[in-house]
Amino acid sequence: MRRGLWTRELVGWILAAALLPVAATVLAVDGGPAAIRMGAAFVTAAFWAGLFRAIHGVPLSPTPLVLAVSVALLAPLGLTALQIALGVSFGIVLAELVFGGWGRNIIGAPAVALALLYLSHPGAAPPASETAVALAGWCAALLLLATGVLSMSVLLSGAVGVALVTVSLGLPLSPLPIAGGVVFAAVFLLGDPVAAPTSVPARIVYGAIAGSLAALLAGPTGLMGAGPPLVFAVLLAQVFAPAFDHAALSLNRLARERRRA
Amino acid sequence: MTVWWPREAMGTDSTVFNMTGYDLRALGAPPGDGRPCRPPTRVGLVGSDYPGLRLKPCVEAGDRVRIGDPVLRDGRTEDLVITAPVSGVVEEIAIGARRSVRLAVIRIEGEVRRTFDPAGAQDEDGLRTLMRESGLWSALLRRPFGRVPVPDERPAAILVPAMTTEPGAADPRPAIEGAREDFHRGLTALTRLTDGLVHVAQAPGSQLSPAHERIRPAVFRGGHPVGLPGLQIERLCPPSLDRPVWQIGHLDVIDLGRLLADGSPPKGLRQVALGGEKASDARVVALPPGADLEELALTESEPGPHRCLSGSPLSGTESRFLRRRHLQASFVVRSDRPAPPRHVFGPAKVPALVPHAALSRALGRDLPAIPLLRALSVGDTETAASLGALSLLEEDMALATYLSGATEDFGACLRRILDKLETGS
Repeated sequence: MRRGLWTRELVGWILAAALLPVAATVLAVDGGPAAIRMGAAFVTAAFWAGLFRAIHGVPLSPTPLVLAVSVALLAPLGLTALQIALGVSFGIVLAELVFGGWGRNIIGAPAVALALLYLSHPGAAPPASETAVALAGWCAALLLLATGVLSMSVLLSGAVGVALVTVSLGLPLSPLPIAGGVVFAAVFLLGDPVAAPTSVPARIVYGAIAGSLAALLAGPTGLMGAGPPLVFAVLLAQVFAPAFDHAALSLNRLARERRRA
Repeated sequence: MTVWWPREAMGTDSTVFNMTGYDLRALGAPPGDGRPCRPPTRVGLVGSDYPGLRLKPCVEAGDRVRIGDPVLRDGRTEDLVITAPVSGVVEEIAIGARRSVRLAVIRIEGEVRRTFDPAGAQDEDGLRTLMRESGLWSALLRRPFGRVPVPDERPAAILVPAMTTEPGAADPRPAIEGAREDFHRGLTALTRLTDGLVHVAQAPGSQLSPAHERIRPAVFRGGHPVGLPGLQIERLCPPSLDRPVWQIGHLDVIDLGRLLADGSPPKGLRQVALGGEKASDARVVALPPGADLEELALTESEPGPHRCLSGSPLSGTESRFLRRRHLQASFVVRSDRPAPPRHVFGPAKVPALVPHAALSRALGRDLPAIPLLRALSVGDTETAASLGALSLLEEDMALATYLSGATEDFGACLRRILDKLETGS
């Protein structure tokens, strides 16, 4: 049997490659503390992935890498390594590994891990968003869009959702594309190829709901440097992603019935 | 009226389908015409080309057959026969599972034809009988499930795929244009077998079907997989359990037209595209159906280990003989399946599908590729059927299997699902 190029491993490596510029920028900007957060998250996630690989044969995935950068960039400041390890364990085990690994999960592990960290440490803010991180995020987005890992409809509808609500709240739009956290959440949390819906109409609804919800949750303070609204909006949209897909597939079925008649 | 039909034939807005597809020329370039090849000395009729039939031999080894003489027949329908595509001597008849003939090999000698009497084919019953006796009935393939239809079935529609987008395949247009009369006569005859439409799927720029109220041209534009019959059927007339749709190859329609005109048996030679990376000279050659590909490989493949595929390098099946519905033969590198990487922790589970833009286009525009592939991979029969699995057969899944890195054979997954649906379990 012939093998094409687009194996699961290649998609994983592309995601890893797209994470590189973001990880490097975060490390360069925040230095030591970011390295500790990233390291703690990666070691914990890799430990669980290895354990499930050894005991249950669950194939390895790029999730530990995504988790590490997500935590370094979006988790609340002032957490100890142990606290981060607890949140990350919760995320990767309950959101991904117990379902059978990357590809069989319903919601993304980074969104779950970050949501737990925010719930258990309310009031804490994420690190300030840097323009350099946003630029790295755009580079990653370009790579992922060009290789077809990230869906353009998710990204665009998410941006439209954010923009509509931000404008209707009377807030300025211009700082959002250069806010590191916002760009990263849009590309790696919202655009997660597995957790996002698969059909185009469902993707548009999913992106629009996540985007507008994030801006609504942030309220008058705006999305700049706001972690929890981004994470919870993505989490909620991912919970409903299978429902969006189901609705889109019902439309598809109706269209077939029409063609048959 | 004449003002209308060219527009109709070239496709009104509702019959031109623009679809994106893949340019798979890297897997096999469209062949040019070239010198003829050494004619094969044997042909083989492969039992698995006639799914749904319980094949019994009509002849014994050593018997002499003419072109058009019955070689095999269905155990349930006496006059549903498979006829000899060449004249010669039956060399071997091999019985396989469930005492059905697995393979019948004929050594080619001379070119003697029998003729049929097309006079009785004026009405529908006569046409069906003539098709069964001439071996053309077994060219029909019914969806869902991909079987040779039972003699009294009336399909909801019939599809004639007069185009292909498989890598390395030859354009069917010259063959049709060379036998336009017969093609039109065959198509018109097909309309008598169904109450619905006869769809002629064709590439842009061709006008292959005659003006007829129940013959509908459908122009499909785009690269592979746009030319796959399963995707075209899903677009034009999705089948269901009680509304089957038949498909028949364009050469079989031409054969039917010729049979109805002068009673001559299905033509012995077909234009077959030779290709694959081990083919020494990729080109179109005239071969009988069932030609011995391993014998052909002696002169047509480059030295070194190779595999003979009947069909394209993408979707072909390994076979010694050219299969009944294939117009392509490929010689490809024999690459033994790579040993699974050794892990400290032992073998991993089959990894799940990760959605990707390439994969989501692998089944065309109408079928939701990722949900369907997921349903196939976990064996979810109901979901797969509701998402369009009834339109598909194994060969339609080859591109998806290829694009996903061949970690899973979606054709085999689909067959398991179809088997479950067919037995109603």
